[in-house]
Parts: sequence; C-alpha cells; structure tokens
Amino acid sequence: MNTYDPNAYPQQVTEHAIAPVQDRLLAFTLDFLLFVPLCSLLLSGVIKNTEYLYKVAPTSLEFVIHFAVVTVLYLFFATAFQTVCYILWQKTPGQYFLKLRVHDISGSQHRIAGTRWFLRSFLFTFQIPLLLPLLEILSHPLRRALHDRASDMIVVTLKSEKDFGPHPLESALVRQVLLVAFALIGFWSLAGVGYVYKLASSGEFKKKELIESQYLCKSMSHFVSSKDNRLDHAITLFLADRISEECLAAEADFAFWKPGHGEQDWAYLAKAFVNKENEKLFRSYLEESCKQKQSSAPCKISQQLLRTESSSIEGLEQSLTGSFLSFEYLISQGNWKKAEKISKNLMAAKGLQSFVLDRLIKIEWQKERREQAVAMSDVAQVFADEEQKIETSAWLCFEQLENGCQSELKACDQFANNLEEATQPLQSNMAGVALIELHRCRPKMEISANLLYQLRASKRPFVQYEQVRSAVSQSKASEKSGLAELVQTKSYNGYIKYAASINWIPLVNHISELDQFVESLASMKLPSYQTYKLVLKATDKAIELGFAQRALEYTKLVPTNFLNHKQYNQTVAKALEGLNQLDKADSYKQRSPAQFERESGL
Amino acid sequence: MIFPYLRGIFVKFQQAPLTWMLIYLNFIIFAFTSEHTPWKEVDNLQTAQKMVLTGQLYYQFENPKENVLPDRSPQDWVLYATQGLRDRVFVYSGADRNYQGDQIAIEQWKKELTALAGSIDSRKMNIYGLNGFRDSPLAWITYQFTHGGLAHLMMNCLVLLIFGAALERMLRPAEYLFLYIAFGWAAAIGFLAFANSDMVPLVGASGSISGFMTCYLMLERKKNVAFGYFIGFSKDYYGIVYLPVWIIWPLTILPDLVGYLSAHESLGAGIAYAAHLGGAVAGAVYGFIRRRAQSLFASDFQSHYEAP
Repeated sequence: MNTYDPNAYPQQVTEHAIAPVQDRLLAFTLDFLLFVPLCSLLLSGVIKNTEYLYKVAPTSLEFVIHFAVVTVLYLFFATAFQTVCYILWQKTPGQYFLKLRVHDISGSQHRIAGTRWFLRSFLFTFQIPLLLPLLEILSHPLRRALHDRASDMIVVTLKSEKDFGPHPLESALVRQVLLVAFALIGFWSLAGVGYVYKLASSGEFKKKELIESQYLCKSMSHFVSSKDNRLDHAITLFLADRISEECLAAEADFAFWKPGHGEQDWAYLAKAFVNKENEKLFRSYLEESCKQKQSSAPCKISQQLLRTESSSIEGLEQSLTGSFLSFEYLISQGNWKKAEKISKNLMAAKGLQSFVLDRLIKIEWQKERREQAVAMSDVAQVFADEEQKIETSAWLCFEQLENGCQSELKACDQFANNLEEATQPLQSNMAGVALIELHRCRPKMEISANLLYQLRASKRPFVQYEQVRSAVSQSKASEKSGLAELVQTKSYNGYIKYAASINWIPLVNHISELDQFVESLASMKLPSYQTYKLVLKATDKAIELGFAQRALEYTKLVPTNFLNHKQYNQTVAKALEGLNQLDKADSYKQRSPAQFERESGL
Repeated sequence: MIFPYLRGIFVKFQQAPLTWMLIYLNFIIFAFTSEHTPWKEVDNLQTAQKMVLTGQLYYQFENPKENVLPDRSPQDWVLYATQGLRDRVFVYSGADRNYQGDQIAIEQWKKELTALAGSIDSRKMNIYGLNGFRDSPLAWITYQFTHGGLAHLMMNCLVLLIFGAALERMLRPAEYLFLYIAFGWAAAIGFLAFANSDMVPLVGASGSISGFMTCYLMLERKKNVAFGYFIGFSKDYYGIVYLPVWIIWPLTILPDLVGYLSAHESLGAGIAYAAHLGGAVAGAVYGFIRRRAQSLFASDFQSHYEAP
C-alpha cells in the first residue's frame, strides 16, 4: 500500500482519491479475462477460419485479411462492452470488484453523456495494442492517460488507501522512455514504409505472385517453354544441377496427378533420378517407367540404366534426357567427336548452355588444346551463370597448377576474380580444392573466411583435404598419410579423391605403394581423363624410383583415346629410355596425333 | 494472471484427504500407463513428403469419383493428412483402395499405413483411453486416470487440488468419489456424442474436474471467494483478492465452449472440449439439484465439515 511520505512525494492538491496503479491493472486484468471469452464466443466462427488459414497459408492475403477482421472485431466488441458498462453503471466489472470508479474531472454529479463514455472506451481500447501511451498513467500527476484526458475523466478509488501520484523520478523516467520509444518507432516505421514502397515500385510483390501462381516449380519458370516436354527438360536441368531435387520431385508429382497417363513414364523416370541414392527404389522407378509403353523414350533410357554398369548409354538422342546422358557417357569414355555432335542438341535447350560449354572447354583441354580451352573459358565467362563460371575456372586452374606455380596461370586469375564476385554460397568440392591449391601457390593471396566457412559447412571430405594441404608446418610423412586416407576412404567424392591422389603420388617412396594404388584405380570409377592423369603421374614416379619396366606396365592402363597424347608419348619414351630401348623411345617422341589416328582408326 | 485460490493451492493432506488420494492415484496409474516408447509407425508417416502424399490420397479416398486433384499448397495437404490420420475408416481401410499417382510411393505408403493400423491397439493410450469404436466398459473408468503426458497430468492435478479441496468440504466422502467417476462418465458421453470416427482417444481427468468446478460453483454459498493474482514482483502487485464466485465461469467453462466452437475439424485441438462441457453440464445440474434439495431438506444434507 502507498504510504505518504511528505519528504519523498510532492503532495497533490486534489480532492480526488486517485486510484492506485496496481488496482487499475488488476481491474483491467479481470475485465480482460471476462471480456475476451465473451468476445471469442461471438467471433468463434471467424476465429475458426482464421486459425485454419494461419496453418495453411500464413503469408497469404486471405490470412492477413482474416486476421485484420478478427482484430478489428475484437477491438469493436471491447469498445462496445466498455461503453455499455460505463453508460449503465459508470464502471466495468473489474473496476466494480476493485472498488474503482470513473468520474468527471470537475467533480460534477451530472450524468455523463454516452458519447464521452464512447470516446474514453474507444481511445482506451485502441491504446492497448500500442501499449506505450498507457504508460502515461505512471507519469501523469493524476494518473490520467490520453483516454482520461480526452474525455475529461479520472479514475478514483472508494478505498481508504489512495494513490498520491507519481514520484518525480518515476515521472521523469517514464517520460524519457516514451520519448526514446517513440523516436525509435518513428524511425523504423519510416524506414519500413520506404522499404515497402521501394519493393512495390520495382514490382517485386507482383513478380512473386506471378511465379507462385503460374508455375509449379519456381526454378523452372526461367527455362520452360510451351514446346518442351516439361519433364524431359526438368530431368536434364536436374542432372546439370540447375534445379533442385525438390523441384524435380514436385514436377513429377504434378504429372502423376494429371488426368490421363501421358507423362507418367517421364514422371517415373524423374522419380528414379530423385531416388538414385536408394538402389532398390531407383530400379523400381525405372521398371515402372516402362509399364505404359515399351517403345517410349523414358523406357529406352530406363532399360539402358537398368543394365550392368559396363553398358553404354548411346543412341537415345530422341529426347533431351537421352542426349544428355549420352553426352556425359561419351565424355567420360573420351569419345569426344561423338560428344561434340550431341552437344549441338543440348545447346539449343534453355538452361543447359553453360553446362555444355563447360564440358566442351574440358574436352578441348583434354585434347591438349590448352590455349583454345582457356580462350573458350574467357568467352564462357560472358554467358555462364555464376556457379558454372566458378566450376569451369576452378577445374582449369587446378589443371594449370599441375605445371607448377611459375607457369602462366590465366585460368587461376579468372578463378580468383570469379570468387571475389561470387554472390551465392560456394559449395563445390572442385572449387574448394582449386582454392586450396591456388593458395599454396600464392601464399599471399587472402582467402575470405566466409568462403571457407561456406565450403566447410557439412562437407567433411573438403575439411579433411584442407587440413592436410593447408597445414604449413607439417612433415611430408604426415601430409602423405593424410592424403592416403583421403584416397582410400570409399565414401568420399570423386574429385577429392582425384585431387588427393594427384598430390599423394609424388610423396610415395616405395614401388609397392604405387602398385597397390594403380590396382585400385579401376575401383575408383573416375572419369577416363582423371584415370589417364593418375596413370601418367604414377608412371613418372615409377621412373623416378628406378622401376622403368613397372612404369611401362602402368602405361597399358591408359584409356585408348589418350594414346595419341603428346604427354603420354613423352612419358612412354622416358620409360623406354630407362630400359635403354632408345630407338623405340625416339619413335614415341616423334609420334604425331595424325599418325596415331591412322594407326588406331580413331 | 488471476486464478481461483479458494482454500489455497497447496492444501494440507489432512484438510483434503480424498483429493490428495485421488492425486496420488493418478500419479501412480500414470507411471504404469504412460507410453515410454516412441511410436515409430506414426513417425514414419510424418515426414513432409509422406504427409503431402497422405493428404492427396485421403482426398481421393473421400472423393473417389474425382480424378483431378485440386490445386492446394503442401501445407494444405499436410493439414488434410492430419484429418485423414484421425479418421478411423481411412486408417483401417485406406490401404485397400487403388489410387492415382506415383504407384511406387503409394505402395510404400500402403505398407506404412497398414503397419500404423496394426500398431494402434498396442498403444497404451488406446488400451486405456476411450473412443467410440472400442467396446470396452472398463475404458469408461480407466480413461479418467490415463494422461497424455506429465504436463497434462500435473495441470489436471493442480486444478483438482484447488476445486476438489473446496468441494470436499461440501460433500460426503462416498458422494465425492462417486461424483468424480460420474462426472467423468458424463464427459465421456459428451465426447462420444461429437467424436464421430475420430481416432484419437479421450484421456485425462479434466472431464471429472470440469464437473467438480461447476458443482462447486452451484454449491458455494459465499458471495465472494479468494482469488490469487500476480501482475508483477513489486509489493501490492501480487496477493489475494475476494471476487464473486461466478467469475469462475468465464475464466474456465466459457473458454471451453469457445474452444469447441472455434476448433477447425482438420486441425485437431488436442483438447476434448466436448468432454469438458459434458462434465461441466453434469456438475452444474447435480449442483443445482443438490442445492435445491439442501434448501428444502436442510438438516439431511448437513456437511461433514464445518463451514468456514
């Protein structure tokens, strides 16, 4: 209870027994607990629909409108209830129980007009959501907030213990708090209005609505055209990493629920690719895609995929997906001529240009036409999207770095530029590996902590690779064992394995380790170019260790399409020189690609 | 915050022995009837993709003649799936129908639905709880002592302590215990009248407690009773205030009515408002009748305990 201390509080010159704040709060709480269930009962139907919309579509306009309607109705009923209580009894139920009354400030006993009661109730109700204006009760000498002052009223108590008004310190504190709060609210409101206006002016709201209403999968909206078989296109985009797994699954599901069975075989094929990690489901979906029509394009693709791993995926160029799979297969086998022919089909499809260009650049590089590859990469920088630019330049940079740090590293300069301009998170292992190797070559180059964070996030193989290759003070033996672990771990991504192998081979001391590695190459299932590089590296190392005959045996593992390569011929020549077979070595040194093509018929 | 204080929150055992015994009994039975193992058959179906599929299949189940799915958002399908998984007919026979769509995913879904249907009868809530399709007279009693979780139990026991202790002073012991069970039966009737084919069983003592609340309201002769309040930690911002006893109606029973009227059928409130209302109505009726009888035959109904 308030105790009057004349030394602490200035005495209020008023005949009113001002109601204590705690009594007013308690009265308000009681009124709230009484009114809200009553209002809710009246609005139960509206609340039901609003709750449903909140669960189903919380960001929709329908929900916003429902919520606004419920809020306005609550405020309306609260105002109405208060007004009726004041007109009839000059008090609300809570005020009645706490022995509070609302009187005219002048002390007049005349009946107060209903419009004044309405004004008081209205202002009080609409201050509740804002809350801050009600704080004036704590600072005003007569505990009158806006609603009391506007209606010329005051809340008094019938109890003997009354309030003596706020202490000057209390008043000052509340005034300062209100000032700061309103300043902050004002500032952020203005900023918010400006931001929303900017969005509206640039058409962002309309664009979002169009995308959501017209297209099942937002990503597809950039690529699809009316002539396309949508699912066929979606599968290729998924394989080229242009759309997500969820997007492809959504497209497939949409096809399932269409009347008729027109696209269901494509839908099953799409679902097969979505569930590729699960061998059993993958095969089930592939089999299902053949149930409607055995001669359909998806069925032909499925039949090829269901065969053993050694079978080829060719002759499927009637569809985009078939062309894509054939293209990838031919590249992995080193059959570049056929791959280049198919690439023309794929370049015509929206969304695949960057991907195909990337592959063509790599083909040029693999043909040992290095300058052409880098030139094409320069051109591709104009057309390709950010992710593809980084991937291509990372791959080329890593290849260039094999020739040593002193060589010209144009692709690495391009890669570094692309990284600086990147706006999307970096998640590619290839880019991560290239970044680490480039940093080893250029120690002064700064790597953004944000980039490293993006690469490390949930990518354990990259983290391990980075630890092994970035540790400055570690010994060669420790680096070698770290790299060996990366090479031997079966579950690790192919590119990490390849990069680790390339860097591990020069550190090998015993021929037996090389033998084991070369034997395991087949099980790594790397693309033919990577296999070729690793075999050459192992051959060089075997020669270095003095095992020229072993080195020659290793060269038999080189894939056929690389047998015309200059680097291969030079390596074989070196091995033959080690065995003192100088004539044969000379013939390999002088071999030309044209001669090889005549001899081999390729 | 305002709450009924009545005789106090933590009444001594000697002052309300029956109430405390009921609370102990509830805790002991909870220890034996609470589920300790996760329900993996439900967990298997509750991934986002499977719930969307369940919703789409439930739509086909309900509308077998339609062969085109309406355009709904994934959240809409998930909500619809929630409704489907509460539909007994769908859960038990949904796997027997043919559906349009991804047949491989549907076959897998059918296996999981069948597994779910097979596991329902082994869950303790379904063994001891009450629902409309299990013919088990014992469930009419066991459900009152089974609770969905520790929080559910504690909330019910707290309210039982407040109102039970107050009511215990006004009733004979046998009458008190009988009413606890009888109000529970009334709550069960209320629940079953509106349960339709809902799978979720009724559990908990809140039906009985709602009956106790309204019975107390009818029998309490004092004009004002104690309510506790807490607004802040400063002096005078917490304490006891004396308010009319009828305030308990809008604080407790009215929200149940509102909850019942505003609960969307597909959302599943998790609270059996109909059961609360059934118990409340029974308590109010009994309290009214007893009070009238008391005023007519005053000496026969003299309470065991002295009035405060």
